[in-house]
Amino acid sequence: MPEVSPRRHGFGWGRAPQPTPPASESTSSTPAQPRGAAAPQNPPVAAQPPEPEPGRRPIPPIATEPSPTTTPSSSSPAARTEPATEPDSSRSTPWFGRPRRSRWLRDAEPAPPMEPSDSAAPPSAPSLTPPPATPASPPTPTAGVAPAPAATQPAEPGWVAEPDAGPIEESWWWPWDRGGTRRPDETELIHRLQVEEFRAIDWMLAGDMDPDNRQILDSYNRAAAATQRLMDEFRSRLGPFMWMDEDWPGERPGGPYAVPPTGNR
Amino acid sequence: MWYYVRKLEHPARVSKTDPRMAKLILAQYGGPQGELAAAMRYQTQRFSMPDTRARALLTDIATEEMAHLEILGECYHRLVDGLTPEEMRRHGLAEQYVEFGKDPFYVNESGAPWTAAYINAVGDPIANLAEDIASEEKARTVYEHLIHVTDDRDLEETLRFLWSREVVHSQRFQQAKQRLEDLLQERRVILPGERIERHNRYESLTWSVSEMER
Repeated sequence: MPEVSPRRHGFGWGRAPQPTPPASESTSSTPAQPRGAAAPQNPPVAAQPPEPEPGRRPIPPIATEPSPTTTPSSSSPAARTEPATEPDSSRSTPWFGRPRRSRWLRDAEPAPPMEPSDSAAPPSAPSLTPPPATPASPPTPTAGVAPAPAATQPAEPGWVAEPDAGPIEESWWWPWDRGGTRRPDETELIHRLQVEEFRAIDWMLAGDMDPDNRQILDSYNRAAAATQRLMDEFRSRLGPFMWMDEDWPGERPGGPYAVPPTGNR
Repeated sequence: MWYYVRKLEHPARVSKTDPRMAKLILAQYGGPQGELAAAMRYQTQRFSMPDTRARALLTDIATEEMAHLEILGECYHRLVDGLTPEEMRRHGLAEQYVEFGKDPFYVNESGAPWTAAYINAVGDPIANLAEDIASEEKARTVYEHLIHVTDDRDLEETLRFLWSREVVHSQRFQQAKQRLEDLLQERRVILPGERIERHNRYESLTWSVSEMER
């Protein structure tokens, strides 16, 4: 049975939007808690995260501030060895999962560590370590209690806030240009324009048949924006594309509509 | 509405003049499975297509086929560029030269002019999409034959690009046809107060269930 979005049943084929079930039904449909648990005090409806939109992936919660409950788990040895084994986490993630940085930049400067280690960054330690014990309590129980929660609570492999990738360092005209230092000449511009425009065309065909796919939409937008940027640059240098008295596509062998040199194939 | 951007979708690469190959390329320029036939076919089938996605797909692919027509015309121009009439006659392009000079005209490789009998449009979306898929597959086959025939590496690269686009178009059309068949066979409950116009494969049906009939 095809998956039809209710927003797009232009010809009356799509399913009509279903009424949302009442909250009491969802409460009863949740898996039953253990009989002995005090369920009535804390209804599960309030504790559950908001229901994601049906077509989208649920957005994981982002840990903005280290709360005192997560502090012992982050400082546990298991969590500290994680960035050492995998220093650049962007390599393991798929390329579409996060904003892209330049490949050259990634190789040049190592990615920022996901969590500051204790030995390397002592000034950042106070923010992560639990607050010092109150002076009213005796010193001996404090030293005994403080490591205890770290030992009892295992390090949960939950969602870790990703390091901020910062602005996209990619060059706007050529992604392998390091930081956009070079100024492309006309031939490079027209080659890049052909590439980006072809990508836009191909993603457009894919988006025709799957308009709700967010990845296709993002890819198309990226390619279309790059195409627009390149065409603006091209026009600012060489005038509009509609000159009538100049060379037409492919006429002048060395011109902007030139045949690119045959690459490796 | 269309605007022309004076730019090729893919560079028309030709390494040498080759009048025989120029004549063969006309199979995809004005032939029955050519780009002109494809563009005209999708363009005229678009209006009766009931599915919005398939209609958008027909429009975009028809536009891209026009871009391919431009690439093939540029290839033809380069393949016959600089030839004398004597050379064209010696290589079997005498009729082409007498009639059209060095212009690529909408004829096939044998000289038969392009006609609208090459294309078809019956107001049935399934039948139209089936014909589109068939025509794309036939165009892919003709491109394969052209690639087998040529010995020009640069022209072969251009033909390979066009071949790959035919494959993509065929797959998109298959996607659209599958979706349309699923939609036509879907069973659903008509809610009270809802008016449904459904273009069946065989007829147009209209249901309207009012509150009074319930």
